[in-house]
Amino acid sequence: MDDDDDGPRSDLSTAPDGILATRASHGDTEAFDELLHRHTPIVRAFVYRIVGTLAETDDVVQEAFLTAWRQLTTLRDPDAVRAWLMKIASREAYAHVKKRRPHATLDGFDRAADPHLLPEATAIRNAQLNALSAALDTLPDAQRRCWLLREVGSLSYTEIAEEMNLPVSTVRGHLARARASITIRMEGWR
Amino acid sequence: MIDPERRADAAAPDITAVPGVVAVHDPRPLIARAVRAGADAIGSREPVAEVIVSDAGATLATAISVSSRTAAPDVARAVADLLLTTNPAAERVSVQVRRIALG
Amino acid sequence: MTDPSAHRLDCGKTVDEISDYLEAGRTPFDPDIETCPECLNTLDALSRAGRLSRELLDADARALPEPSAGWFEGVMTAVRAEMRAGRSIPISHPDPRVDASVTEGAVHALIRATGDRVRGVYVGRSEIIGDVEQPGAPISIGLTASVAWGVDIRAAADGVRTAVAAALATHTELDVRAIDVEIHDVHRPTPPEERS
Repeated sequence: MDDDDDGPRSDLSTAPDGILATRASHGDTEAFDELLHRHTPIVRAFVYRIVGTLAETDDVVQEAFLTAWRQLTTLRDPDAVRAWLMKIASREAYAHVKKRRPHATLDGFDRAADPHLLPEATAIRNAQLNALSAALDTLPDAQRRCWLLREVGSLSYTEIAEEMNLPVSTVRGHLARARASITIRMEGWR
Repeated sequence: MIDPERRADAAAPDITAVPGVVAVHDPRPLIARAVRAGADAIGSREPVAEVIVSDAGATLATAISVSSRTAAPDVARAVADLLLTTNPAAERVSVQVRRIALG
Repeated sequence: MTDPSAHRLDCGKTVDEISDYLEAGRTPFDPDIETCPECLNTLDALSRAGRLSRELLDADARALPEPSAGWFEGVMTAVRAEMRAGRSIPISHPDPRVDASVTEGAVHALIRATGDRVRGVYVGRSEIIGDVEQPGAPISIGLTASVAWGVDIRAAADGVRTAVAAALATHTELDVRAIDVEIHDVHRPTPPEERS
């Protein structure tokens, strides 16, 4: 038996992120459910870029949201909950990858693991985004992680540095290298 | 040792039939705090129909969700009364309201 | 694999150098770069990478198959199992053998749901201040909320105060002395997807 069989829920779909995160941090599971639904697609896309297969993405994102629930009381800026979720997801994703292949760094990966996904995806994206996608896949681990956290997660240099336990100058370096690699690839430069 | 007949008695009351009760829950693990009795009297028991009965039926504990249409204290008291009626030898009855659902 | 450090523009600068310059915020100002058309073209190209990455991830988010209903339920089941109920707020009963209570978590949920029912209001955080475990102890409630644009703030606060007072009087035996409602935000009534 659970406590779901109750009256009409208030409609939280128009509530801003900040309100939802504040309520969830005080135990409102419905607010958390709304955050879960709202941000699952982008968090999945983010994690998929890191782990490479859908099955692993499902598991990692579940764990990430559960971790987020447990750590909600540590969220300092409720309005920035989306970026905070990406941070947690990135942590879980890289921990997962490390477990999977403890000795190697991931310098690029083979999406043949999910071939059914590729034709659909390429039909939607134009050639430029395809080039970007391929470029992201070939980045070294650390560069890709910095890049995703910065450009998709909107984290500051300092937050990324804390997250990855690196000096800010190294983070800048990774971002510059990633940006250069991606741009060369997308522009089709030799 | 659990007396099987005592456990069967505790299964008898239908708590969900009490007006205002929306759901009944396994009262662990919060129940030790609510009961304020020795935790070992309750800790290792399995609930029957979501009511925990200690050895010899001395303590009963349950947790419920209620509808807002009936005042939660009234519902809690009614459930306690039901448990007292069906378990007259009880020394302690604990009822905890975990959710008040608007509707 | 592309090696950006090897990629040299006709003017002699490498893409790497230009990317470092961009990452440093284009300071200190480098006149060689800022007056070289090829360098400036490269800066433009580099600047697009971020925006296109966000577009890519948004496209991925739409293209990836949605997880099953069971996946969402899996998360929420685990979440609910970890709910902390907080303190136990006593409910009186004439028979001294009875220990009846309502959890603090249930009361917070009640306050939120009640406040949300006031038109245009979303409750944020709620606080129950006082020794709730002691019957008859003086209690005060504090809560924050955001209101929709165009809603009268004072009327909303009064509405919340009245509704919460009534709900607590019905469902608890708390001696609530004060309900402090702080409206701290205004939200737009349109759903997020409609904003461009």
